[in-house]
Amino acid sequence: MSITGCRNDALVTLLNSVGYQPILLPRTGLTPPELYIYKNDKLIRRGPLLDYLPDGATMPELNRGQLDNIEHHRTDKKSLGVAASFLGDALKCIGITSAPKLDLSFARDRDITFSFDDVTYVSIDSSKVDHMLDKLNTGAIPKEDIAAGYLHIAYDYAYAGSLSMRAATAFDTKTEAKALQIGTYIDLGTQGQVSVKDDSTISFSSKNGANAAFACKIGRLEKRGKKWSFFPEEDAGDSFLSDENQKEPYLLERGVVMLVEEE
Amino acid sequence: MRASEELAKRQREYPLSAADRGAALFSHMLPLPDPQLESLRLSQALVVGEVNRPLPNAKTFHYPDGSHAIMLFSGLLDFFSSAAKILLGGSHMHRDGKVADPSLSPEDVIAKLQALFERWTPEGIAAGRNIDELPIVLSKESAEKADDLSQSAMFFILSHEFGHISYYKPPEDDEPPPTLTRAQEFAADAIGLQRLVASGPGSQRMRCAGGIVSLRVLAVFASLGHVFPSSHPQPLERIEALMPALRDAAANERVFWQVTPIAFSYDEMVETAGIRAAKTGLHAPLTAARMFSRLSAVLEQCVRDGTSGSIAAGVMRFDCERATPEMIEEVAHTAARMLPPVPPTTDSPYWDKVWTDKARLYQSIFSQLPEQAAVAFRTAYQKLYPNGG
Repeated sequence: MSITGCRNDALVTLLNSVGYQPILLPRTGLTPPELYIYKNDKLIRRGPLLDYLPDGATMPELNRGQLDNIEHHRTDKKSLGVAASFLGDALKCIGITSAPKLDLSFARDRDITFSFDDVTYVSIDSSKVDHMLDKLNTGAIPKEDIAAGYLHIAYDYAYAGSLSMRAATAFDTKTEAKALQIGTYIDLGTQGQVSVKDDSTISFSSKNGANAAFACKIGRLEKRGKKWSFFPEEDAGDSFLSDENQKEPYLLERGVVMLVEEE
Repeated sequence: MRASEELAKRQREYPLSAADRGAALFSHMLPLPDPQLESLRLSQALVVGEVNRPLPNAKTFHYPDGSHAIMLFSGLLDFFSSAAKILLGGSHMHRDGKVADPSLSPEDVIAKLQALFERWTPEGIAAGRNIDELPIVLSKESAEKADDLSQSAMFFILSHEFGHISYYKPPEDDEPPPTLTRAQEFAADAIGLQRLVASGPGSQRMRCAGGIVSLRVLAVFASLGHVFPSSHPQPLERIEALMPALRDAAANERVFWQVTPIAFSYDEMVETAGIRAAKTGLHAPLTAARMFSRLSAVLEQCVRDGTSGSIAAGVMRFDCERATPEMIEEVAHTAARMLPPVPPTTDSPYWDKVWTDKARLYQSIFSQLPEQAAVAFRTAYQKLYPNGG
């Protein structure tokens, strides 16, 4: 299931273009690789891949770094109503999961954009995923889901340290968005903090730094004969033309933010 | 099944602005004559749909649960639709014993097809150029025929894709899925053509034209830089194999020539337009088959119009100027076989009379041909019918 108001958003399109599937995870502190089932448009998290390996299996070294090409890129302009809904969801991505108080009435008729800042990633090379699959034990995962090719592995998560909300025109700093007054409109509780960066930008961040991933790179898992195969790239199909046969990263669905459900 | 889910997903990713033309075409092909394919379809394991992507492409996907999805890109459907409208814009339409002049001259048709191809070079498609820059105004009858032609072209392509499902073998272990062999690719074309001729949209002539035009368009794409999978036979090889398959599918040689005049004519125009778009020449090469098809078609038009054979003689004179002696010999022999003094009687009195009248006109034009051709045509005729029939 995807969340509303984001289809083909500029930021979603940008993430897709670099192989990321925007997601909305219900919890923080997750790292790849993790097993998922994507079935009937539902993305269900089954847990760390390590949980499906024999006792004593070790996690290969993970890669970590900055995602400068995503940082500060803005969403499309959103109306006030859509912006409030988006903000509630986006705050979850930076670890603010308790219901925050979000009153954007101070923005009045202005269009709003958002961007993720301090963007980092944690990933595992897909070649290392291949090796981990040799001893994969799918346990209680339904056999029909395996046979149908519904299993997936997220091998790269992108995280944001903070979220910025910008108005198309400046807020009236005297009356609307002063640091002292912003708390009357937005209260993130104990999990987050909000600050006014300038006369058109408000920044949100987590207090404890425990962020949820806001996007992932994910690949398909197939059992062929007795062997597992991992496909981090799109299936090109039997194509009339091979113009577009350059391998592209696999995506669950272009243009949408997938809502992740927990098993 | 995965196929339905994946098709629905692609259609959400690339939403259509109008009804799904792929699904509509598929519905007209039902029930599928191949029991294996029909069984897949009935269990939702075979789905067909249009995906709004601009490339002139079609793709078949195979899923681990045994289901298959054929996705026809809007770019391909749009291209055939535009090409068909241009071709019909230059075609004479017979109605109630009268012939309506076409709105486009043959040179206009070629120029517009050339412009269409030039907009659809790989770079052009990538830039999202608009397919509808050259709208063609067609009469109701011509528009219907254009629809038959583009539908036939897509019918053939869809039928070929069915071959990719019929021959599909699931991969074992971590091997990639096996691709079709060249023989299977050609067989998929031949079976697709048989399906098209047997149950495609419109007249037999338009079905044959659709099959040939579809591959010729792909051959032009290849000449313009589009890359076809190296595992596939290239479009030119496929079109060269398709004519013999078409001849095999016809009940006899006369029926083959009877149902293919539009196919030959459109094929030549599309090829000429492609050559000009690729800037590699001015005209499609003349072949004996094209020459005879043209002769047969013009003779038929003279019979329908009740005119003398002088128009046919003029057309042959033009072709003879470009033809090699071997080509003229081959046309002479084909004409002698197909246009005997006493044509055979079949179960189609209408066509028996048309061919009888064509044969009569044919014999009357020998003296109007260049000397070399006149000798070749007369000699072939006398050799086959020493007693004059």
